[in-house]
Amino acid sequence: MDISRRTADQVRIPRVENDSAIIVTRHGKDVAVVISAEDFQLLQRLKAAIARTRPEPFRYSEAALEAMRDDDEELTNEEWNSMSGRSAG
Amino acid sequence: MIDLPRRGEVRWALVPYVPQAPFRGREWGRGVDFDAIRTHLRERRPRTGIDLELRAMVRPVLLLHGWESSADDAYAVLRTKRLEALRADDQSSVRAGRDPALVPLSGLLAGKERAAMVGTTTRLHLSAIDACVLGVVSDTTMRRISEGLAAVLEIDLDGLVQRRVEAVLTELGLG
Repeated sequence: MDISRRTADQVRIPRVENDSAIIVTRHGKDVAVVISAEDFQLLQRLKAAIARTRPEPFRYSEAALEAMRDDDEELTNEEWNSMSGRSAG
Repeated sequence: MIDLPRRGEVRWALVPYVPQAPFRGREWGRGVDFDAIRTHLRERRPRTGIDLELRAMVRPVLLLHGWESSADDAYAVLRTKRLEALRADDQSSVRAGRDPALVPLSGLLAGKERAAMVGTTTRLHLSAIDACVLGVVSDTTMRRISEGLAAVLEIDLDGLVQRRVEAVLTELGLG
């Protein structure tokens, strides 16, 4: 989130208590929300916590990479016979 | 008439290698020769596609879904690997569930102990899948494979999880 600062004499803002919010509308649409600085900090901490729990990009193990590359295994007799339409022997 | 495939079954199938276009590309790292591709497509029938000559192998595959969710007789599958082909310590790691890309499949009726290779998602037509069922893996294993797929393919499940949690909270009267 991009965050910028303005001093209180640069903008007119309504007073807002903790755990409450004021939704600013324009032409019937919600365009901004005013919350307390404390609630904003809590929101930032929550977003940071969610970001920290996001998994790292996946990395294959060497064993998995090798397994996917090497695909020349031969079928055993047991495997060959287990296909439909084939009988043992 | 073969039994229609079901989720979690392991069956023999004719599995193509990863298809490679029938033209000579430049060395990897220097870029593919797209001029050669365009020439090839012009000379052939670009509107009807190209018939490729494919190499394929007979392998046991794990079905990721059943016939109920197959709209076009094609099935998403994972290739499998014999565990004995891995090094001993890698086998132990796979059996212990420490490798999300190799999930052990127990209870197969024939053949050697195998693991599903989560990074090898392939679509096969029904005609390439054998009728014989080698085994059916457990729901627990399928869940581990689902989680592995989400990790390997980097599928973003945040929205889905959030909606599920919200639905559960609502169900409990806590939402």
